[in-house]
Amino acid sequence: MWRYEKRLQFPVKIQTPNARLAKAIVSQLGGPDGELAASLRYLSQRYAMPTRENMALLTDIGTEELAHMEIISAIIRQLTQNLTLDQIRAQGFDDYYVDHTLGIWPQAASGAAFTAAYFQSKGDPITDLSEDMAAEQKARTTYENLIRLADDPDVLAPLRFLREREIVHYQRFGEALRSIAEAASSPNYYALNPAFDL
Amino acid sequence: MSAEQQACLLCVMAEGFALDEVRLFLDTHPGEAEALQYLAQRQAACRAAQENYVARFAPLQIDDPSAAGDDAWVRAPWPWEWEG
Repeated sequence: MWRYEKRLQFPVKIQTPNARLAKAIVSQLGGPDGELAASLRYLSQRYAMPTRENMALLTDIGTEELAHMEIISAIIRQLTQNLTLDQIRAQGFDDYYVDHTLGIWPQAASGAAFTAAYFQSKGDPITDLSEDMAAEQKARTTYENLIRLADDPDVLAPLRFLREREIVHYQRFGEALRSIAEAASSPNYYALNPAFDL
Repeated sequence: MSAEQQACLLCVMAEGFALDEVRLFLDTHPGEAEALQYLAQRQAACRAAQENYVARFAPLQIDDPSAAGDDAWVRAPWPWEWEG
């Protein structure tokens, strides 16, 4: 089960509102390669994993992604919390404001609603871990795009932290995939799905 | 939040993060001796930082006792609150 610690994993202290940037950053909350997709992906995949090492890794990284969702939400909240109507109009925030006022809602930068279609839980450890490695790379690229768009050091600091975490997670998932492949007894490791056929 | 409380909380965040990181490493390198040693050090440091923060300022988890009062869990600032 989950306990909550009343703190962020990394500090967020933003001085300057920027609704336009918030609309881009929201993709890392509710977009295809964002933190909500990541946490649900890993927390869903862990049940069908054939090894306890992988159950642990997916639980621990999935939990960390919930903390990252919180960081992204804090960034968006601080970028938008005191916006005036003039700022909302000038910064292209009207369409989000109409449906959510200054509330936080998981969508992509395009406005597309979050969907489970953004992730898979295939019940096959090779497939799932390969998906997880791809997911971390997609998230890294997204953070790099956001880092190029932002110039506020208060925003760049947490974005750079989150980008580095994607690289570490990719490394861990690679290790997990290698250990599944090594544990397969057959030279053709696709012959069996260890989560179903054994 | 006072500068002192912020500094104390930053300590908790830093120690907590170091612990998160070594735990992930141990998930894929179980039993690795140097990592286990580092884990023990980080657990001690994190526990100390948490106890220090909770004793002086505010609860971190819902069942932490608080000198700041029975409603401290509700009343102390939430992690996303920041007034420039």
